[in-house]
Amino acid sequence: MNCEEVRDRLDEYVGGELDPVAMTQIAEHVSSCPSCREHEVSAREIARTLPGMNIKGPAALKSRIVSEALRSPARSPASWRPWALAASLLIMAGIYWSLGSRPSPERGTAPSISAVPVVDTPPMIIAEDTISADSALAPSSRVAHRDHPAPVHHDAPGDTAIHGDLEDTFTLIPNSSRDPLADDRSQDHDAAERLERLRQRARETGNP
Amino acid sequence: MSGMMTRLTSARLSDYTPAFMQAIEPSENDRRLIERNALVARERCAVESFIERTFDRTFSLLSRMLWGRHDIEDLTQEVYLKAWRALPAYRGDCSPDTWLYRIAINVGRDAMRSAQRNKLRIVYDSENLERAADQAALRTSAPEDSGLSGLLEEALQHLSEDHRAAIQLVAIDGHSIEEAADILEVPEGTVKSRLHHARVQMREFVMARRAAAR
Repeated sequence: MNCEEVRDRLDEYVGGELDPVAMTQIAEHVSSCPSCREHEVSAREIARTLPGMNIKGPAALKSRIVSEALRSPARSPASWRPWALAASLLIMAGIYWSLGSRPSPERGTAPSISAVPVVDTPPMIIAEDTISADSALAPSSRVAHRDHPAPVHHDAPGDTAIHGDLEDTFTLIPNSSRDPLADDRSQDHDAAERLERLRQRARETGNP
Repeated sequence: MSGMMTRLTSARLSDYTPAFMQAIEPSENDRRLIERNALVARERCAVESFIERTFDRTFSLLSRMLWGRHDIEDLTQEVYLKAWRALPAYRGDCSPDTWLYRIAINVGRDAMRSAQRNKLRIVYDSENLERAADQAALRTSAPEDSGLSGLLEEALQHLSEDHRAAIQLVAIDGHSIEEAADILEVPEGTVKSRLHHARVQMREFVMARRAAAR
C-alpha cells in the first residue's frame, strides 16, 4: 500500500472497520512512515472529538415544546377514521343528489336537444354539403346550426315522432378510420324522407 | 387473551409493567406502537421521555444544516408540531426517534429551499452563533481538545449539506449506518461513501490549518 491508499482508508482503520488483512497492512505502513503517522494521529483525535460536538438546545425551548405537546388535545390513533367516513358519505350523497335531480337521457330528453324549445323549433335537417368531411363529431355541427332555426308549422300528429327520430340521430360518432359521417348521412336521408312524407300528409289534410 | 389485547392497545405506559412486558415478549414493532399510542394520548411520561431523548439531537441537526440561522428554535418547534400531527399515521416501520429525525431533515431542507426560492437574505442570529461558539469553546477548553473542536466546527461548515448530515448523524450523534440511511432515506452504501469523503475532507482541513499555524 502506498501513502495515498493508506491515507484514504485511515478513518476506517482507526474505527476498526477494515478487514484484518487491510488493518495489518496499514499498521505496518504507519509505523514506518512519519507523514502517514501524523495523519493517523489526527484521524484518531477527530474520531474522539466528534461525538462530543452536539449543540445543546436552550432548556427553555425544550420546556416550551413539552408543555405545548401536553396542552394539545390527545387523540386516539384512529380517531380521524369516523370523521373521514362521515365526510366521504356526505360527499357521495351530495354527488348522488345533484346527479339525481337532473333529467336523464333515459327519460327521453337528450341534453343537447332540450336546450332548444321543441314547440317552436322545427326538426333540423342538415344538408349533406353543410357537414365537413373532417368533422369527427357531427352532432356538435348540428347543434350549432340549430341556433337559428327557421319557423315551421308542424301540427301533424306525427311531428313528435319526427323529434324522437331526429334526436336519435344526435349521437356521437366515434373517431375512427372509416368515414365518420357515413352513418349519419344515411340517417339524415331517412329522416328527410320521413319529414317529407309528413309534410305531404299535412298538406293532404289541409294543414300547411 | 382479550385482557392482553386490551393492555397492548392501552395508551398508558404504566399498564405495561416490566412483568407484563416480559410475559408477552413484544416485538420491536409492538414496542414502537406502544410508545406511539402513549404519545398520541399525550401521556406525560411518554412525551417527556421522547422529547428528552430527541431534543438536543434535533436542535443540533437543524443548527448544523442551517448554520447560524435565526429561526432554528422556530424550526425545532415546527418539527415537533409536525410530529404530533403525523403521529397517528406512524406505523412503527422505524424507531420513533428515526422517524422524528427524518421529519427534522425534511423541515431543514424545506427551510433551505424556501430561502433559495424566495431569494431571502438569511438572517444570522448572533445569539445562536454565540451559543454554538460558547459550546465549542467549552469543549476546546477541555485539556484533551487542544482547539480541535473549533477547527472541526469550521471544517463542518465547509462540507456539503449531504456530507455534513452524514457526519452529524453517524460520527456526532452516534447513529448506526443503517439508522442514518433510514433517516436520510438513502442506501447504506451512500451513507458510507458520504461519511468517508466527509472524514477525509475534515482531516485534511484540520491538518492544513495546523500546518499553517506552525
